[in-house]
Amino acid sequence: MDFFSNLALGFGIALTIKNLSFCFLGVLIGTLIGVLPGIGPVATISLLLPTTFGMEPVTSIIMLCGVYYGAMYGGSTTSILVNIPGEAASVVTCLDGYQMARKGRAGPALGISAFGSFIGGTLSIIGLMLLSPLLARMALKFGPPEFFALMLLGLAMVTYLCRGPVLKGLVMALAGLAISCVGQDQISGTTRFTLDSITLMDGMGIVPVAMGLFGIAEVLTNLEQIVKQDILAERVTGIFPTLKDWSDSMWPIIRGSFIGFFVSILPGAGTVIPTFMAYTVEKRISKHPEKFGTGAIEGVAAPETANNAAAAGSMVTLLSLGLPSSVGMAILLGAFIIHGIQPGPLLIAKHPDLFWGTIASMYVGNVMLLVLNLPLIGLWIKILKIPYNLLFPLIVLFCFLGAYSLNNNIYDVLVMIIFGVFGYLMRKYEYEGAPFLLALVLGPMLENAFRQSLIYGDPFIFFNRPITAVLICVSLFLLISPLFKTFSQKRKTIEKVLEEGE
Amino acid sequence: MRRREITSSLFWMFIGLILTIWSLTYPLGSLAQPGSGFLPLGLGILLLIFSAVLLMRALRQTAPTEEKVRMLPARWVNLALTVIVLVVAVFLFEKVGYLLIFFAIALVLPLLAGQITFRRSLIFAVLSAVGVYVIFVWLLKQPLPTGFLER
Repeated sequence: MDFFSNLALGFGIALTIKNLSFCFLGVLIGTLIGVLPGIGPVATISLLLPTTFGMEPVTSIIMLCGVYYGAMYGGSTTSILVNIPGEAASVVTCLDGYQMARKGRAGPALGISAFGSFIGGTLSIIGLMLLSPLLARMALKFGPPEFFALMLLGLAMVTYLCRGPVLKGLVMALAGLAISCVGQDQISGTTRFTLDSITLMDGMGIVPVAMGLFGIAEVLTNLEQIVKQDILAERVTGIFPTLKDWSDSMWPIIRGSFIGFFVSILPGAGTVIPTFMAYTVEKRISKHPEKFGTGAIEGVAAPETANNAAAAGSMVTLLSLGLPSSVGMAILLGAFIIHGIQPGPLLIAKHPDLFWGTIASMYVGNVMLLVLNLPLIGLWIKILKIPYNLLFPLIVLFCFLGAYSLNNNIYDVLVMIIFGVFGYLMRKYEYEGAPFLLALVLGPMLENAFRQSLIYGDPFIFFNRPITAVLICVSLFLLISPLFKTFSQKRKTIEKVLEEGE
Repeated sequence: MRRREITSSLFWMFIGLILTIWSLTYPLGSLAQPGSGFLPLGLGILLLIFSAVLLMRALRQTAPTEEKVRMLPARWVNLALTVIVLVVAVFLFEKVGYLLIFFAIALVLPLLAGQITFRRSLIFAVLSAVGVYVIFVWLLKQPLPTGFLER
């Protein structure tokens, strides 16, 4: 009964005119940036954040979540029509989606990805609704050592899953943690590494750094080679999949929903890994694996369902434990904190309106996306025709404005540009930005948990508590596993799939 | 490939070294009561170790490995100019005001990217500056510096 009254409370909040409008705006912007290659949900949430300062927290979170899962919907359009992923979680959709479009089946490909996304998203929200309160109740028993171990696992997973040698990921994670030490130490109040700068006293802002690493760096990378986008279909017809398409896609959609949801709960998995897993599983169990890569509808349905299911799934750890499982969630965590709300085990008890309101808005947002996407495909195709040399100055302007509007401080813009150049160079040298940003967000919490754990007086505390010991052992295993031949080969296989996808 | 790996690992070694030395200027505390320099020191040492391993690996590479090496950008001058334009814009933003700065950014950046005429770029710049005014100043009421255009 309690559950249904909570859900009713949520819908009461989500269905107000104001929240409906901002949910609509969020999913619309999300789809737009999903469609546009060169700007992803991380940079967009970062630059929209300052515009939400005047809003109520629940309205702001509803809109920003809409941007996040809306981007998963939009990403497929570019993958299918242009063979360029609109955002990272749609990389694998290019494999079969583009081939379907080449065979004149762009319509069913777009249709099945919209329906699959809707089903995956909705099933995943049910999972989020049921699992988060349970996990939050369990997490109330956690102390600093458990939280430290969980954060360490998240960082280890992101490091393990990034491309290139694990060592490079590790170096980036360490650098992110080091940058998170800039500013005032939360326990002793000592000011560290600020070079007497007032701007740095509050620490390195997550938002300008994220905009630099994922917005400006992306622009600089794309500027090197402006690729002319050849759109395959000027007009897409026959969006509704046939009965055969449905029967071929039904099980991939169901499996994609489960894989997307459960894999994304793992710290560090994010939305990209589940899409590759869903695709690989379908290919492996298919009676016709040879059809994959040549335009099999299952190869579109499974990953597109999985990325939407993962968008909701990755919110489980954020809302129940306060720990972001991916870079996108890390930025959303920043949004919660800026609005004075600390996500974690007490979030559901302290802010039921926010928790249930956000969940209800996700149901509504998913329906909006389904209704919105199919008729607007023509508009997205028109937007895709905007040449990049006009698009990138706009991205730069929005990033500039976003960084400045945070604190009306021009040095935040400078920080953004510095990290933009840093991010660009790191890409050139094949270092990934994800472990860096996640470490920067988790850094202060990780340091606090680490120091509070040691204050118990036992330096072996991390190995004396069963949950902590298991989590730390798994983290260490992930980080040293590339040294062993079997695991290093497995990792190389993942990397190969990622590269083929691109 | 090898040269890039050496350069990047040396960069991280340098950062690790600075972090280690700088951390020593803060109280380290003890294992039971870590001070504010404790974690940064550990991070600095780990960064030094891992970058040294990366360096050793790079030095051990004899021939250039896979030839998927992305060379330094041929358009690096344009990239450098883009960054310079942005940095100059940062320093002039509050003095000159958002309208002129955004106009200038929107005018210069497409020209740097190439494949666009000055006229089209000019139209784009005017539209961008007006767009920023309408969306951010007029609708969202964002306080942006007006610089010397302030009456």
